[in-house]
Amino acid sequence: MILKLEELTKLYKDKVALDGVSFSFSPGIYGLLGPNGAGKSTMMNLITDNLTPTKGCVLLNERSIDELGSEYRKLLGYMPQQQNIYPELSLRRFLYFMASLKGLKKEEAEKDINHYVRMVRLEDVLGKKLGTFSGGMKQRALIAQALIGDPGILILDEPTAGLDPKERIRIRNLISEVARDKIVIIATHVVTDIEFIAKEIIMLNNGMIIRSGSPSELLDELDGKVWNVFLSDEEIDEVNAKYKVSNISRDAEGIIARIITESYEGRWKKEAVRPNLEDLYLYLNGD
Amino acid sequence: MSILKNEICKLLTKRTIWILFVLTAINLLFQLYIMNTPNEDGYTLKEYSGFYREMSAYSQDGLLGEIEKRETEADTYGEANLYSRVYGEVAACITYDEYLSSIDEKAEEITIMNRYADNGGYAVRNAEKTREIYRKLKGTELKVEDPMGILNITDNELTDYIVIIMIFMVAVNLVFYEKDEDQLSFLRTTANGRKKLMAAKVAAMVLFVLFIIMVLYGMNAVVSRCFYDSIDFESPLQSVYLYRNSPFGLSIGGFLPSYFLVKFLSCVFLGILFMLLCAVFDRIIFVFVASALTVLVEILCYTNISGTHFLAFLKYLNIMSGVKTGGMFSDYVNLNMFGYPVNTCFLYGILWLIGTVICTVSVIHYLELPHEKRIVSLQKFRFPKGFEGHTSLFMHECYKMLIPGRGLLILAVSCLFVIWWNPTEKIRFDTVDEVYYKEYMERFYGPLDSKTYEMLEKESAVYDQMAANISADIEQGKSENYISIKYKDELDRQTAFGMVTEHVMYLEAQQGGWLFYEKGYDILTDHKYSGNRDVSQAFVYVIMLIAITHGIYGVDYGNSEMKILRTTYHGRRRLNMIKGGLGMFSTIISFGLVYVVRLLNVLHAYGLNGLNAPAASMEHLAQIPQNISVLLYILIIMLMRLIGGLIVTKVVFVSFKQFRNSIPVIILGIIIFIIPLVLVAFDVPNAQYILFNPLLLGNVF
Repeated sequence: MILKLEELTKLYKDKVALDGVSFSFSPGIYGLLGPNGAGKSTMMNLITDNLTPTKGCVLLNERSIDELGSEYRKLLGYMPQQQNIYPELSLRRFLYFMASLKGLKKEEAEKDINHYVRMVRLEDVLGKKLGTFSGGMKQRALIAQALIGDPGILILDEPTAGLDPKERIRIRNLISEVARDKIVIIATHVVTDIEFIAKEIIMLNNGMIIRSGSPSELLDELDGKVWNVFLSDEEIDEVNAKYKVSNISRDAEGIIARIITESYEGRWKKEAVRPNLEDLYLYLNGD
Repeated sequence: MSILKNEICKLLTKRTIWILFVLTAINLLFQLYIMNTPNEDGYTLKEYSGFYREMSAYSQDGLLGEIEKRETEADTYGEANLYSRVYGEVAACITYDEYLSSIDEKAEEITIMNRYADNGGYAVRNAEKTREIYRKLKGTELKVEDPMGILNITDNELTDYIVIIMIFMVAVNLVFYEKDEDQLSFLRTTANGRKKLMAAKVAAMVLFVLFIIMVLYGMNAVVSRCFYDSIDFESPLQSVYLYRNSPFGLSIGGFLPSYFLVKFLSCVFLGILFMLLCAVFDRIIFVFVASALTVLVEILCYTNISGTHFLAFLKYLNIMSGVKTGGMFSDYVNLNMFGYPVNTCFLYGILWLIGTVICTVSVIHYLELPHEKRIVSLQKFRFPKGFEGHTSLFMHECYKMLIPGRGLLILAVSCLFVIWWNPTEKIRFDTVDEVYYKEYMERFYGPLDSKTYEMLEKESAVYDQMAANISADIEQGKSENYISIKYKDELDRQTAFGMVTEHVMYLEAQQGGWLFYEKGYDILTDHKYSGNRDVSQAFVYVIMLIAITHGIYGVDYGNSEMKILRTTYHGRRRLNMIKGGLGMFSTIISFGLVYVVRLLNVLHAYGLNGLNAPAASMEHLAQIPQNISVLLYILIIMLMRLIGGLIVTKVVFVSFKQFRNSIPVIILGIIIFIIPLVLVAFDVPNAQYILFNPLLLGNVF
C-alpha cells in the first residue's frame, strides 16, 4: 500500500499553506514535525479528504482518493486534535456510532470495541458520557475510535496532547503495537513522541518539506554540531545571543548550555554531545 | 471604564457592523417603499400626507365641506378611502371639545348608574378618575396638520422590530459568543472578571440600545423631514389623530422626549432580559427559541387580548407595550386593583423597575456562580447495553437528534403549545343573519342551476308576499314598532336572503359555481379572516423547524465533529441522506402540528359541505380557475407550506455546511425567514411576496 502526495498545494486566498509537497508513504510510522503554521494541519486535512487541494493530488496505490471516494475512507482511521466531541454521548454509543459510520456489522463492531477499549483501558467507563471524561480519557477514546475497523491508514493529530508522562508512554507503545502493516502518520509538536517509534520523520516549515528521513539519517546531519559549554551566570546572555541554545541546566560548578552551531570558536570549555531530534528541530526551525 | 471600552470594541466587529448596517438599510428601504406603495385602501402615505398639505390652505370652517366635496367627486377607490379617512380625522380634531364633554357625560352616567348598585366601587372611581384626568385638557385647541411626520417616527412598527432584532444580536455578542467559546470561564478567574465584567457588559448594552435608537429613529426623523410636512412642535399631542385619546397635556415637542425615554428604558429592559437568556441557556438554539417565544407571546398578548378581558393586565404589563411605546401615550387605561383604578402606565413603570433590577442583578452575578458546561446526565439512569450497542446509523442519528439535539424536548414543548393554541373550534355566528345565511346555504347547497333558481324564486316570492303584508299593515296605520316586532324573524331572514342573492349574482358573473356555507373555508383560505393567524402560524412553524433541524445538523458541528465523520466510509452521502430524511420527517411533523391540527379543527367545526365545489365560488378566490376545487385549493396551500418548511430545513442544512457554527445559522434564519414575516405582520404592502413568504403563508392568492 503506497500513499502518495503529488505536488500538493493549498492556498487560502493569497496565503500559501502547503506549497507543492510531494511524498510517498509506505507502511510504517511517520512523524510530522513543524512549528505552528508550518502546514501540518493542512496536510492532514488534505490526506483525510477534509480539504480539497488547490493543486496536486493524493494517490493511494496510484489511484486518486477523489476517484476512490468511500473506498479510500474505508481504509482511514482519523483522530482529530479537537477533544470535546459529542459530550452528551456515552462512550459505548459513540464507539458504536463510529463503527456504524465505518460500515461495520454489529458483531464486528462489538469485537473491535471490546478489544480497543481494553487496549486503551476504558472498559470500565463505557456507559459514561464523553463530556464527563478527563482530557487523557478523551484522547484514549479518540484513539480507540480511530482504530475501530482496523484501518490501513491511521492519521493521528497530536495524539498525546494533554496527557501525563505515563499515559504518553502508554499511548506511544499502543501506536507502535497497532502500526504493523499500516501507514501511521502522527502530527505533533512533542518530538519525543516520535523520536523512538517513527520510521521516518517529515519536517515542515512554511508549507514545504524542509527535511525528511529516518531519525538516524536526520541526526547524522548534526554530528559535531552540538556541544555542551560550561559557563558562569554572567556569560549566559552572550551565549544566548551568539548560538542556538537547546537547553540550559545548572550544576554545582556553574551553568551548562547545550548549543547547536556549525562551528564552535568560543572561549568557553566545551564537550561534544550526541544530537537528538529536539536539537534538529531547533537547528532547522530556530531563528 | 477600560473594561467597558473593551466590551464596546469587542462588539464592533466587522460582522456586527455589517449586520447592523444591513438592518438599518432594510429599515430605510422599506420606509421609502411603504411611502410610495398603495396600501390595501388604495392610496400611498405620500398621497395621504400630500392631501393634508393641500388642505392646509383652507380654514377650519370650510375644511370639512371641501373634503366632503372631494369625497363625493372621487374617481378611484383609493381617493374615496383617502378622503374618507382624512374627513374622519379632521372632524375628530375639530370636535375635540365635544369628545371631552362626552367623557364627562359618560362619567356622570356611570356614576349615577352605579351609585346604589356599586356604592362607589371600581366603576365609579374609574369614571371619576378618568373625568378628572381629561378635565385638565379642556380648552385645548387642536391644529389640523399633516400627522405623517410624527407618525413616521413614533408609530413605525417595522423600526420597533428591527430594534428588537438588533438588541438580540448585541446580547448574543456580549454574552453568548464568549460563553460558547469557553472564554467566560477563563475571564472569571481574573480580578475584575466577574461582577465588574458583567456590569460592563450591561453598560455596553445600555449604550448600544441608546446608539441603536438614535440611529434608527434618527433616520426615521430624517425621512420625515425630507418627505413629509415639518412637525409643529408647539401643537398639542392630540392634534395627531392616533394620540387623540391621550390623557397627557403635552405639546408634540414635549411628547417626543418622554416617548424616547420610555422606549429607551423599555429596550434596555428587553436587552438585559435577552442577556439573561443568553446566560441561562447553554445552546444558542434555546436562546433563540426562548427569545423568539418571549417576543411572540408578548406580541400576541399585546395585540390579541381585549382591554376588557380578565387577562387585560397581560396586554398592558408587557415589555412590548413599552418597546412599541405609542400605545402608552395614545390611550388612558386603568386596571382594577382591589376595587381601585390604577393606571397601566404606572403599573408598567413598576414592572419595568422590578424586571430591570432582577435581570440586571442576575446578569451581573452570573459569573459569580460556578461556571461549567452542564452535561445533562441522569445519574442512576443508564440505557440498556443493546439500546446503545448497535450499528444502525439511522437509529444513532435519531438518538442524536432527539437527545443531544434536544429534538424530543422541542417536540414535547411544541405539542403542548399546539394543544393550548388550538382549543376545539366551535361554529360561531356574529349576528342572527349569519344563522339564517347558513340555513339558506345548506338549503340551496349545490351547483347553481335551474333547480337553484326555482328555489330562489320560490323564496323570493315569500318575501314579496311579506312586503305586501307590511304595506297592508302600514295602510292600516300600524306603527313601525308593531311591524318590526311582527316581522322581526322574516326581516332577519330577508337580510340573509339578500346576502344569498348577492352571492348568486357573483356566481353568475363567474359563469358557474356552487352555493355552500363557506365560512370554515374562509377561515382557512382568506387572509382577511385569518391574516394574523397565518403569520403567527408561519412564525411558529419557522421557529419549530429551525429548532428541530438545528438538532439534526448542529449536533455534528458543536465541536467540529463533522471533521471526523467526513473521514469515514458512510460519513458523507449516506449520513447526509439519513439527515435529509430526518429533516423531511421533522418538517412533516412540524407541518402536522402547526397546520393539519388547525385544518382538522376548523373542518370538524364547520363541516365538509362544498369541498368539491370550485374554489372560485368563494368571492375572495374569484381569480382562481374554475377547475380548481376547494379541496384542491386547500391542498395546494398546504403543499406550499410543506415545501416552504422543506426549504427552511434545507437552508439550515446548507448554512451549517457553510458556516459550521450555530450562531451564524440562527442569524441567517432570522434574516431570511423571520424578518420577511415581520414585514407581513406590519402590513407592509406586498410583503407577503418577499423571499419565502408566499410558501410559508400559503394564503397569498
